[in-house]
Amino acid sequence: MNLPRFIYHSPSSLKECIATLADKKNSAQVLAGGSDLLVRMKLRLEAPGSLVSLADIPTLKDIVYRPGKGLTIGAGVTLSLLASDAVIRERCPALADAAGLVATNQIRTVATIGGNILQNTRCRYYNRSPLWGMAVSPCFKRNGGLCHVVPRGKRCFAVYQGDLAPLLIALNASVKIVSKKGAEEAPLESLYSGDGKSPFNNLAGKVVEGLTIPEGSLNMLSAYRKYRLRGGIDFPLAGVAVALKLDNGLVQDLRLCLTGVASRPFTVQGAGDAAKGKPLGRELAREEGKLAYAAAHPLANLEGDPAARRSMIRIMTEDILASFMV
Amino acid sequence: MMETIIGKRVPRIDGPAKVTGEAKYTVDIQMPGMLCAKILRSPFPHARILNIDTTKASRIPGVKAVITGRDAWGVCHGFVETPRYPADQYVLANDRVRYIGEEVAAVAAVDEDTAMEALNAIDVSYEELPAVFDLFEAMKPGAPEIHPVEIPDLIGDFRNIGGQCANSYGDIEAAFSRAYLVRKDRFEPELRTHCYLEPQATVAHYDAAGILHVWTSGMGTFRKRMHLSRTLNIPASRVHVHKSWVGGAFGGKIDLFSHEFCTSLLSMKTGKPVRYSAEREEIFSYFRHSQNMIVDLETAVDREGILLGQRVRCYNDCGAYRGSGVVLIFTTWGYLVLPYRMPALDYIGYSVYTNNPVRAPQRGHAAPKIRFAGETQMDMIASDLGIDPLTIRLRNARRPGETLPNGDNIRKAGLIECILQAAEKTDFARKYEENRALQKAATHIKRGIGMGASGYFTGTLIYPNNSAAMVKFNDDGTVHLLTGALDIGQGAETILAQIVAQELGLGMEDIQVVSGDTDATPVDIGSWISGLTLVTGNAVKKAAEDARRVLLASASEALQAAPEDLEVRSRRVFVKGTDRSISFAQAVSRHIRDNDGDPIVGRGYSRALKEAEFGPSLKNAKGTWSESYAFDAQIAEVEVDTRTGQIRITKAFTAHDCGFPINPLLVEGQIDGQASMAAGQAAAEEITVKEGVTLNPSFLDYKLPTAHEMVEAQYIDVITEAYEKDREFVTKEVGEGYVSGILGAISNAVANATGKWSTKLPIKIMPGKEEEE
Amino acid sequence: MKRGSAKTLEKEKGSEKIIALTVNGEDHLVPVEDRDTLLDVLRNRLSLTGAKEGCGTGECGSCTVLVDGKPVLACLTLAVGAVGKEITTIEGIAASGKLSPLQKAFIDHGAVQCGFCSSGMILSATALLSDNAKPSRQDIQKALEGNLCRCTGYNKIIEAIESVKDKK
Ligand SMILES: Cc1cc2nc3c(=O)[nH]c(=O)nc-3n(C[C@H](O)[C@H](O)[C@H](O)COP(=O)(O)OP(=O)(O)OC[C@H]3O[C@@H](n4cnc5c(N)ncnc54)[C@H](O)[C@@H]3O)c2cc1C
Ligand code: FES
Ligand code: FES
Repeated sequence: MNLPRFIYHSPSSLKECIATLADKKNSAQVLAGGSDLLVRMKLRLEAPGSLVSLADIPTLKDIVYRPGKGLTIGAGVTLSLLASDAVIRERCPALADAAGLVATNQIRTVATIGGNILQNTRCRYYNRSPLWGMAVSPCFKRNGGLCHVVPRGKRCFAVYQGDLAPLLIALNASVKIVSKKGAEEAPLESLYSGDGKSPFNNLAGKVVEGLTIPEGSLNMLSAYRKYRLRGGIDFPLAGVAVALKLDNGLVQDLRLCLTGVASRPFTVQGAGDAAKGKPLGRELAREEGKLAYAAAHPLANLEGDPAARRSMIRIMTEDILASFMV
Repeated sequence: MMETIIGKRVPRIDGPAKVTGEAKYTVDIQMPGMLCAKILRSPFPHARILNIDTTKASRIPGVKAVITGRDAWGVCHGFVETPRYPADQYVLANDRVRYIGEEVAAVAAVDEDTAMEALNAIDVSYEELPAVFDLFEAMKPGAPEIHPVEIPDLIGDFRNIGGQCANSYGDIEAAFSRAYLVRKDRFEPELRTHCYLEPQATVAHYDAAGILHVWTSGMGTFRKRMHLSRTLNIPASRVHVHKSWVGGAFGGKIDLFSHEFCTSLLSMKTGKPVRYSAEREEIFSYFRHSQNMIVDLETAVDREGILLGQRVRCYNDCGAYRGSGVVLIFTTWGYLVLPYRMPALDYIGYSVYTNNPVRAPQRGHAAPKIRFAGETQMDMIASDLGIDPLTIRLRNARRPGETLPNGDNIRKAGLIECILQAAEKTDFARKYEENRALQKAATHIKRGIGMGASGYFTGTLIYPNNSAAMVKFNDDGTVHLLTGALDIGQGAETILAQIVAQELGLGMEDIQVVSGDTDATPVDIGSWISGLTLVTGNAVKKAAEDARRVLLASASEALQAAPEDLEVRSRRVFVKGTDRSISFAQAVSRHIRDNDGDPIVGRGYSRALKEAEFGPSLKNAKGTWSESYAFDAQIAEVEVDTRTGQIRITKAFTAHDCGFPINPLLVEGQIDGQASMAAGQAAAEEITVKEGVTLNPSFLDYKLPTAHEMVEAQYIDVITEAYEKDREFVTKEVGEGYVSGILGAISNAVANATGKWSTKLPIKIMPGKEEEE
Repeated sequence: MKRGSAKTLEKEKGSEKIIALTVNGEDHLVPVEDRDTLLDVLRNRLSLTGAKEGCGTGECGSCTVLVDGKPVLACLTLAVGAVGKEITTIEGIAASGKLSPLQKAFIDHGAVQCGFCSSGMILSATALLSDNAKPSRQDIQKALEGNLCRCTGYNKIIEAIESVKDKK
């Protein structure tokens, strides 16, 4: 299976990278590990005229902890490194664990954290080649006019299935975005549009340089759980991330974010308010589980029964909170 | 004393080539000037082809040939080609397409991009026809007609029946009226698929002398040659199917495939080598899925759980062409009556055309489906009657020497022994009761143990019916074995070389195997119908014996001793009990010298069912099926998390009567592979097809087991046969049957854990159900 | 020759370049297009067909090779991106014709059946053992989770790896 033709660029600095992107306007795309983008290109879902590789930009591979500031991770850090790096293991073990749950060993070797948070949305009617597509009318995301999953739907319901974003969002992570206009810091959550067809708020010509998890979040209890049908390789059919701050056994802050159930990483609104001031216990776990269940609306666009996925959201939420009790 | 090599854990002889990357599979073949072939497929499930315009495509620079149905008008093939079931599948669609993905045109071009461009430039106009995807809908009067078929003895007012197999015997009415208990259940195993790791591929080269050379990823070169010669209308002798390594097949590469025909024809048109290699998504969507089947099982038993009779209706959706569907509904009958005594039966199997993709056998073919149904219902009945699963099986299991309803004798069948040993070795009875007691316990992690049993045939009659072999002595006293057998991963070459080594007292390193080449090697039945070790193995044994006879005759003169007093070992012929000997090399050269230059070449041949003229009847299951039946009992242990619905298959135990294992290492490999396939089938795998479109055409979406899903496997051999000098040996199949027993065992183990039986596969337990209830 | 064909040729040549790849310790100058995957180049330009294409989309692991000692999927790696790195394919494992202990264990333990997954399996396992001489069974399963095998059920593959680990 070959790739469509493109021109390859491998800038050695971020500055050069931005310049190349600006120069190519809309026809260039950033290439990190390629485990999302190159597959999409092989399936002819995308055919950028140029690929601008981040591989030769050393600064994107840094992991730095600054007391008081937090943990900053370069966008080009691979998932293998994320899973094994001593600083990450010490400061944010939940992130290391989550990274180890992504895809497969070979993919984690090349896949990056930047590519992971920016991976495209997916759907069983979309992630296919033209050999398959010839027999199926094009949906919104294939530039057609319908959705096979929600026949009366007016938009695309493709699912965001990244494993890392929910945890990073629960941890209040911010991203540093660099473009010709300079650098800006934004909450990670603000990148996602919620639209299955174009899931990111305008990122053209921009590069994510890295992410920062603020110091305050590093002191929280946090965990991510993933539901899939096999022990490896599979994307999450549902995933739950929780970050929790306790004060004398009472909840001070709780953030709950889901993946695999909507076109974006989905923060459960009200999860924190419902928990505030309450003791961490079975009751709270059950309550939060119910909230998560009510908020999640998985559709029949992935393998696995949507009802099962929804129940698993509840169960995993409860289980994470239970795991904090010991 | 002759050293024995039979029964040893001999490492496979193709191991070094495979672990170093040297082994060349079809896709690895490179030839100068090779063209790339691509196939245009139908986007409609059912349509008339009004016109195909290839002018634009042919004009694209780099496009060397374009072919359509016009180049193969009326050319059909079938898995079965008999007067009752004539070939019904077009090598390239003629005036109609009947499923999404059916091959409509093919191109050969200088590279992949150009070939794709050419496909896009072919203009096909279709007129859509009503399509039907549900088999029961397809059977109704008024359903769209997929083929104009007539089954003269059709039972019922049904449409689109591609095949019917009906067999009744005994007094079924009496059986049911006498019954203490009657159970009627519908079982629906899922549609699954093979997932051989090597994609289907073919390389063809029509040479200047007019010989068509073909390398293809298949399961038997002689059968492919027959199909190619028929469909291309050239003599079989002009088709040379070469050996290439095969990266797994599991039944999914037996038939002729359109791409094999197209690649060959494109090479004939261009005179250039042409390669076609399928994309994985194409294979998942448009090649063959496994046959599927719905089973209605109505069973009458007495108070003791003894089977009195069964009324069985099976419905197979064979897709748009018959494929192996008509064989499936016959073999279903076979696996129904094989393991347990069944005094009365009323069986009808229907194979129904729909506009779904075509299906093929997959490991076990009918057996996993019907045994899943039978074994599950067996436990349900046991539970209804308050009998345990072990006792009910022992009461019904066939004993050695019994005769099947078709007259076949199961001879030294070891089923009872297998059941007893499996139960004993796994402490079945105790664990079963313990788990049952814990079904209602508060914990959501439940354990289950379950039993399944099965039988399988070992070789039958179907083209090419026979195997032959030659053993040639080399000047240095080593040999070449020439066999048409094709090693598709099971280790055929190794087993055959072991037999030669045993017969000639040679080491494995003294034997070179030349295999699977239709020009260079004698005919062979191929690596399917589970008969290779039995049929080809005996042919090879005879060839080796023949070579030894001549060798000993030569040595006998040299050593001045009668041939009976000689023995072979370490490449030498000895006078028994002495150290007088000559080397094989000397004996060989002496033979050549004394016989006008005649080298030593042993010949052997064999066929299944020597007495029978034909194989069994696909119409009514009458007639002999096989000479050798294998049996097994299996026990699975599972862990079920009733809260998350996760089913983990922790152990698979197999007690099997394989006759005797020629190579236990390879037998275990076959069992492991089947346990894994069964685990996938029981708990996760399922092809989803919606209106003829496969919705999960990838390894990500189709949940075949990964290393995490490994099932710990244990085995014991129940040995019922022996390998003896100068006698044909009886092995029993090991490559397909176990998938069935273990499937039944898993299904019963889940029920043992949860108290609930699943009549569908894969078994699904809804997460959170328990708490929400 | 027809008129259009010269143009096609030009189009192809346009993005073709020569790169230097270090494969199994040897340097090769190979003409590639930017879009060529490492798998295309190994198989079609260097005739190293030990790495297989089972899917082309990152799901089967039969194309696994080592890049700087780490297992990666050659089907999702650009050849132009592999310049300056040490690439090891299955052909480079049996140094000077001698099978590695792992290759030998695969044969002896029956870990090879059809063999189509074997190159990838052996490379994944080689990388694992060089990182972790005493992997647990879970470590092994995790290291192999991206290498599908339909024939063996994985049992004998894991056994083979464990046998080598025990010798270390
Ligand atoms: C078989 C398989 C299984 C998988 N399983 C999982 C899974 O279980 N969980 C999961 O989360 N993912 C999974 N993935 C998806 C993918 O591997 C991961 O999301 C991976 O982390 C993507 O990272 P990458 O570096 O390879 O991204 P790329 O493919 O290189 O990039 C992804 C996208 O992000 C953009 N991008 C990347 N980096 C930047 C940056 N710094 N700035 C701006 N834009 C950028 C790219 O332009 C592209 O659009 C799987 C993929 C495959 C093939
Ligand atoms: S071919 Fe690369 S993962 Fe399948
Ligand atoms: S040995 Fe055949 S796929 Fe692994």
